Amino acid sequence: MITNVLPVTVGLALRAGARFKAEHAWRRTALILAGSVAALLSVLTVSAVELFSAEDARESARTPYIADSKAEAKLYIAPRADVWNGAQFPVLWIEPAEGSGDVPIPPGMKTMPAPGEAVISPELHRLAAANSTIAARYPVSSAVLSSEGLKVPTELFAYVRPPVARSIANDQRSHGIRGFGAPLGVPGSLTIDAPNARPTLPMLLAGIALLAIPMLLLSLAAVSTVAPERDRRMQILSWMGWSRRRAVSLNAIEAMVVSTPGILLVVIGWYLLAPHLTRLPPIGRAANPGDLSLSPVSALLCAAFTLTFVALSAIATSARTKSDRPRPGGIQTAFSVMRAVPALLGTGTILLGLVVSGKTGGALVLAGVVTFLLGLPVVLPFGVRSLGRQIQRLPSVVMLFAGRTLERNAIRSARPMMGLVALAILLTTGAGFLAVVGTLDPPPVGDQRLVAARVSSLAYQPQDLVNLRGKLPGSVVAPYTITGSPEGPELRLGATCADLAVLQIECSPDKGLVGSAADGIARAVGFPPGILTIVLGKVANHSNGQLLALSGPRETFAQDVRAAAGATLVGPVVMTLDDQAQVESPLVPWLIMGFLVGAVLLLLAACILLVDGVLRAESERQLLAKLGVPNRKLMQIEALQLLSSYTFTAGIGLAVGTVLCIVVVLVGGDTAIPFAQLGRIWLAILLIGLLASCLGVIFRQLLSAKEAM
Amino acid sequence: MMHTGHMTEAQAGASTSQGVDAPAPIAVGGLCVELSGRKLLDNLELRVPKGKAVAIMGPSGSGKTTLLHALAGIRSVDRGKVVVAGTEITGLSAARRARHRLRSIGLMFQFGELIPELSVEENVSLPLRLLGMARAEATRMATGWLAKLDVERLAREFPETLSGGEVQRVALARALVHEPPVLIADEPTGSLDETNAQLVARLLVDSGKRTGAAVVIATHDPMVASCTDRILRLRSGSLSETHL
Repeated sequence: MITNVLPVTVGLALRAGARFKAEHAWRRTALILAGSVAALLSVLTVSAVELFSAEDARESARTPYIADSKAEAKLYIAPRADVWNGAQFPVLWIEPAEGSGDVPIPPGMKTMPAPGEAVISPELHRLAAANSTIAARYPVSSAVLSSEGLKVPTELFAYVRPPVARSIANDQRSHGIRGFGAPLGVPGSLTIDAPNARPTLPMLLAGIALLAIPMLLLSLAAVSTVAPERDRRMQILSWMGWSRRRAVSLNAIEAMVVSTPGILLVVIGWYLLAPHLTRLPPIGRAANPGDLSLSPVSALLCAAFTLTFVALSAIATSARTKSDRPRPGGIQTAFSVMRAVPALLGTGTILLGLVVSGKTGGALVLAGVVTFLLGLPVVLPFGVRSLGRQIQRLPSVVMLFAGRTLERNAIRSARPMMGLVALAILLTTGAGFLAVVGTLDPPPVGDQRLVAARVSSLAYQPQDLVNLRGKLPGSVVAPYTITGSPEGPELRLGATCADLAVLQIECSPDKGLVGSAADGIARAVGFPPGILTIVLGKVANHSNGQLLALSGPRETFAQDVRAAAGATLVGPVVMTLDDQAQVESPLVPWLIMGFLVGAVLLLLAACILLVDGVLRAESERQLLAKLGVPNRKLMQIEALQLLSSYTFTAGIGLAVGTVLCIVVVLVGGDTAIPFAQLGRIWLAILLIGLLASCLGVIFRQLLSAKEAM
Repeated sequence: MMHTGHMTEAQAGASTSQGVDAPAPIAVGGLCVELSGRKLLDNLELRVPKGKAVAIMGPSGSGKTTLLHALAGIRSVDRGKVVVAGTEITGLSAARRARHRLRSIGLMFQFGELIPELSVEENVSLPLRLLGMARAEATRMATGWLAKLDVERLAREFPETLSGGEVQRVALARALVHEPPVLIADEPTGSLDETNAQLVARLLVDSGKRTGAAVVIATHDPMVASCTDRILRLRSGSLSETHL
């Protein structure tokens, strides 16, 4: 029967959103800010997914289909690797199959390179132009791959064709292929890159902890701004006969109406800008123009999602409003165990994560942190209330007022601090996570008197060894094999003590190599010292081209071996001890950026909450001022309220965060607890709190002065 | 036409017996409401016939507002029966009580409680709009009521620019605009000076009579109470007849 509800609700929401008093301007600012930031996160997330999808599509486009038989093979491919700056990159050796008229061309390549030539990625070309050691392996004159052939525009990648008279077709490490465009990771496709496994669960949990929760807090802070007036409106409408659901929906529509301009501006702006961007902000990940584009449907969905998010935040904050008129002196909510359940559940999950080992344990700790963060705002006000009870017992009227306000308005007093508490927890826990992921195992320390490099190649010929030796004067280059025996693994090196004499290392024709030289060689081939027996002698069945290059101390040894191998071998892979160093996970920049974005969101939320707290307390201030309480006393009361509640809540946040940091470090393995970082965070949080409290008092003074005018 | 005095007991009894014959818009029996273990309303009985006004007096904290909220269906009750405009509301859900309130009850409060975002005219037409009436018709009726209460000139103003007396007259117009069978007012003159209080009280009672509404007013003010047909005192959770 009620037919006008929607237009009336929307009309009222429009009116509510368009009021012009100072506090309404503040509410509008907060809502537009929160909506815009949520929209930005939303479009960035969708663009990141679009980027991953485009990268996967390009990777799939260059993934070869393995031929079922030699007769079916149109092209031979051998995935090899090269190293630059400690990071490996793929180099594909390719060779058209003999007699195959219809040779598939890899994506991004115009024509098949001539024998002995390479087609390289633009980034590798740039490097070659700037660095002679790279140019020695990949000449600047090489053809350059276009963007369709590259997963990421900045990746190092190369196709190389063996020189005339050398063929990889019969090497067991090459694959006959019948074309490109195979789906990733399925049988029948050839993996040419590191497997593309993205850690979905940890990424999801990290996304929730670093972005979703701070964003939720920011949104809740924004929709709660000037909430007493909104709650009063709800109450009047409820008295008039509006159902509670309808009154709540009015708040949701009002929040949506106010935040819509910002959301639309961001979504439309991003929709227009994204196709031209070549970096995904703020992470800076390289992208091809168009990779970050949103489809019109995605853009609409982003806007709709953000509006829904804002509306749900408004509903969540409206839901706790009582319909009865608030009584003077604030509302006392009883503490019940149920309120502590989320925080307790989070604590339990963290403890469980400590017991369970491996990735599951890590995921449980992360899930526990997320749950704990969500549960903390519910229990914190009860701590503030207890604090208020203690303060008001102290013998001073200032203490009485400050303590009583904290006790009677515990939720309101704790709210402005919530953002800073979450920030404290986020930063301290983040310090732990970053300590774990940022601690890289150093490369194994070898014998200072001996440097070694493993060299492997395709289509090995005995002449290759001679050629390589010729390019590495002063070094020993010898073939080797590793075999198992009852006494343990044995490395047979095709060299004599006389050959090794140039290196001045201990050598015995009977016992082979012992001591530090043996340990150095063992490490170079990936064995810990003391396990591998190294004997000297002729290496039989040496067809896989496994060579060891040994030299006395020489800083440029790895580069020299790579240059020599590049000039003499087919499909060379050169590995030194330095290449065994642990490299940083590609997730680390995402994680650091996540922590930074999360911190910014929480700081914004803290600012909004603090200003709103000041606005809400103004009526009490005026009451005390009317009673004749001097301004200096008022300032003392306000400063005490702010500082005591802040010190208490920030203390809890820092303590909880520090414990979580230690937990994360313990779970993460062999990493030192980052005490220096923790100290800096403690100091920063305390300074921020002090500054915020001072600003809060000053803001109240300014507000009161303005009211008095 | 102003009503100038309270009724005698005989008159009150007559109106009560009249209420037995015709179903009274407000009929409450055995009403109990407890708050934190304290009985605010204890087996309370009340009948208010059509076109009659009743004043509820009593000290602060005696439960006047609780009684009005129970009548309006704003709050649920612990025991008893509350029949308002022919509907037994105690068994209804909060949402259905709200719908019933919108249709059948006009409410007034001490501070008017106008929606600050809406103009005077929009505030008054709001109940009609929510009941499904077209905007033009609702505005026309709202303007008519504003004219009856002599505040038509304020139609385009916003609540924050009105005086206390003007706010209450606009609130009265909003309570009456959909001509509800029941009118409930909680300290409607509590924030007004004597002149305005008398004016608003008379308007409230007379308008109720004109529309045939049963009117219940909670008040501390004997002058306001004297405008009604019957004065009841709320003490220890139940009502008793009283005289000024």
